[in-house]
Amino acid sequence: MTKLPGWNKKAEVSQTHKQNNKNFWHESQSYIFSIWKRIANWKVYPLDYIHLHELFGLYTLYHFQNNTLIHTQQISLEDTSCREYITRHPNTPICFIVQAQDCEFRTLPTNKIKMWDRVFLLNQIKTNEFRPDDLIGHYRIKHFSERTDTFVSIRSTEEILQVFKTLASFENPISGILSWDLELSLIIKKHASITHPLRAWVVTIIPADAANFTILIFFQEKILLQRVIFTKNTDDLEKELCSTLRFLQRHGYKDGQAVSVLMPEENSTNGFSNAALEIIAIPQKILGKENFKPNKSFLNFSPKILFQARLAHEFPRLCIKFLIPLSFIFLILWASVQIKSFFQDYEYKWLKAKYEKIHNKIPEDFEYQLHLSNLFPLYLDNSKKSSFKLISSIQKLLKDKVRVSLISWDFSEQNFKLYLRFTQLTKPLHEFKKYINNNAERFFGKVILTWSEQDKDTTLLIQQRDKS
Amino acid sequence: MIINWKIWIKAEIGGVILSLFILLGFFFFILVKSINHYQITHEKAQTINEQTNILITQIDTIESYEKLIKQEPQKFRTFKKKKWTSTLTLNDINEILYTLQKKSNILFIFIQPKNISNANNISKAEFSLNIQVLRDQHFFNFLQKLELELPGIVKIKKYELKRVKELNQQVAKKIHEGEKMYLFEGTIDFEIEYIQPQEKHLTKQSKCH
Repeated sequence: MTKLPGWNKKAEVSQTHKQNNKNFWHESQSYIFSIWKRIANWKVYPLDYIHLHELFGLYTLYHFQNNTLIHTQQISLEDTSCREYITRHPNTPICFIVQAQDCEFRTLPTNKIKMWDRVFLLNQIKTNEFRPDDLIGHYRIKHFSERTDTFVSIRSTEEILQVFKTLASFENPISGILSWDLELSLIIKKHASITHPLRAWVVTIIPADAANFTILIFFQEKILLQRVIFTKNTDDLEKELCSTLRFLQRHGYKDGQAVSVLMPEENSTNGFSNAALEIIAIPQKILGKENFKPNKSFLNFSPKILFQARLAHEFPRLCIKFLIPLSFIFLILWASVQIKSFFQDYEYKWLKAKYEKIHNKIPEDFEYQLHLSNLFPLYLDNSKKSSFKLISSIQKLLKDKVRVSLISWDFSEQNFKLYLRFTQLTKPLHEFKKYINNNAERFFGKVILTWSEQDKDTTLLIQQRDKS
Repeated sequence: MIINWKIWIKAEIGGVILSLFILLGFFFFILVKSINHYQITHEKAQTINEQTNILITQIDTIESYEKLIKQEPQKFRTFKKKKWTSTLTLNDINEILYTLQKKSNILFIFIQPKNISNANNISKAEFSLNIQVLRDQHFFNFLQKLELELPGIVKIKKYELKRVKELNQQVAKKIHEGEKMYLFEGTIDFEIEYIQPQEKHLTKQSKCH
């Protein structure tokens, strides 16, 4: 059978459609898998990262995959191969590490400063003490009751600002902008403190190249000073250290006070002639840039231009850190409410069944019967207060004895008043009175009798005594 | 600030943020839903419990009513005769009063209704009657009939009976000859309380009958 060209075209279109569907499905799967991988490995993220080291205007790129260095490259800003390399890895976070030999420090004791004044004060220091383009970092030290805020600024150069612009143009998130001298000083200080007890005054010597060192001086946790020394000679180094210590006297250093000097194994001598300087040698492997993993960096600087890229790195981490526990709290609450609801539903069903059972048993004229049942006690109560018994009692009492010309009965506030007027008496009045007084309680209950006479008429007022 | 969407649409960044917010939103939604359901069921359970209690109380009331019927059969008979099924109007009362007049051998001088808010649907009303009777017994009979035969609960608040004519031979002769004469004049103040059953009670009652 010969296939017509139209059939072939249809077959091609459907094949492309299938291919597209397959690709879309595959991409979606990989997208979801990437999300899952990022969430599951949030503690060790990133395993795949790029470090960009700056030293005297030269840049070196280190690419790590699963914490293993896989690529190193010397780069310059105009270098297109570097741009291509980074563009090939758009998801890899970049950490820019500057040597930062031009740092400034401002220390401020903030013990007695109130919370609401702090923000204002710290902002003032940032704007007044440093230049607007400087990279400013801030950390706080709590030593016993003393609280100190320290500002660190790295003086930015045109070149560094250009690097920031280039980094901002990439799609990669920025994991941090760090100062190599600061980070390394803190790493070696921490390392040395494990093996040796450190003095209050600590000097770290960081080699930049063979004849270039950076000295950082710490007092307890405070960084006080940074100096750059150009020397190959140990004596010169000692002289520089001694002159630095003399300078430190204005920061509270006293002459002869012991100082721990942390320096690379390679550069360490047998000892300085000045007994106050105690050398602690640091293994060379710690100082290698290839081994540097800034998972918990000390001070992260964030220039405005890289704010979005920094946020893109930090925000998912914060989301994972806070939203997942919050979601779990909601889940636990939901589960507990569900359990309560289950028992509640069961109780409701039971109550409903009980109600229906009772309701089904009631007769059809239940409501009417209920209405009558509410009325009948009222009716009985009212009939108890009726005067008929009283009237018949009076009739019995007065039968054939007197002729009543007026009867008046008044019922108010639970008591009655009965007023009788007689016109003729068959017996003498005093006998009749005696008769009534003796028999009144038997006929009327507890009553007060009041007699009065006017002309031929005799009146009797019978008042019920107060029940209370 | 221009948003760099290329950074944010990545799975590790935007995907994670979005999925976590969706997750949080979903859990929050189901939590709110389940709390809502719990509250509704709680209210329903409370309502049905209250309804059951009311029903039990009502059944108890009817049981005690039945006991009362057995204890007071005579009063129940008069109570049942009362008109409890429809609205009470002023015309109804007037009609019954005139019937009672005929039965009791009395003469109304006036009937004065008081405090009636709606003459076509009386729930509470006061009346003042002025009557003349031949014998005092007729007056008391009439009083009793008022209490027993008027609809609703009748409360006699006040009455007064006064002899207006002395009974002598001439008067007795006239009475004997058939002349209409009244020796007593009386006033009665009474109150009617009529609790009308609700519509549904009536329908049930009519169905029942």
